[in-house]
Amino acid sequence: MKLNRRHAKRGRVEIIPMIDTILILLIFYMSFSSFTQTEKRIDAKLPRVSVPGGKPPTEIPLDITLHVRDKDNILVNGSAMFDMFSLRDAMMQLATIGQQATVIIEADPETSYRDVISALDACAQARLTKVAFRPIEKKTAAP
Amino acid sequence: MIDTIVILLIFYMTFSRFTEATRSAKVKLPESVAGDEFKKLPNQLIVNMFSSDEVTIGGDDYKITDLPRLITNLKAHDPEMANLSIILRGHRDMTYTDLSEFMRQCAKAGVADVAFTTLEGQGGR
Repeated sequence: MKLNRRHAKRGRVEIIPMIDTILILLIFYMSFSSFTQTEKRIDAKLPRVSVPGGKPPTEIPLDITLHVRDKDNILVNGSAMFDMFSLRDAMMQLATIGQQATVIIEADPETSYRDVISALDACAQARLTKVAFRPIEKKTAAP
Repeated sequence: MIDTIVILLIFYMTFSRFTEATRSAKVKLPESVAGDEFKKLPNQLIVNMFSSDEVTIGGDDYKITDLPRLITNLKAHDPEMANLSIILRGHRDMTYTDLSEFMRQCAKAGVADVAFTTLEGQGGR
């Protein structure tokens, strides 16, 4: 007797659902991903935060005071004026005198944060990481 | 077409990153040359700051004057935060007045370990 042999269905890859899935994944990644720039961190080992009326900073051995007005006007120790690019070289020279130097950064109230960070960057490049920020003194309201 | 789509998919999967919720994408960071690669550690508090009145921590909005109270609460509830350090993600256009206020509040909270997040660049821009 001749039996009808049922042929087993061969497995095959379903292309259309695969394309759908891949497209959905692609849209998801294109929509929700962002190409971020690598973030860095500059550590500031704060020896103390200067408090107005507190101990004057001259009591710390070898202080370097930076007064940042803007990126082209940075006053070092109240006398020499530097721009952001020459500041790094100056800080490197100062760092050779004393690696343990403490840098005190102060700025005008309206000086932008990016200029202050650039000054901090110059210090970090010279491996001067002991940094203090001198806060702006709060003016008491006139009676 | 399938080949192209698959290649595009692999490209996006490989090179894309999803921003962490703790970091606000709106903050435009200043650039710097120096600095180590930023890695989030458990005892760090990330502060996103646009100005003294506009501070975001963990997705919630605060004023900078709330920082000492927040840190005291964190230290009280989480032993891992006993020696916490603060990572400031400051907007590049905020002023020194804002930074000064931030440092003042850090001093009030007894935090001396502060780091500033920047983007890799030429610096001074």
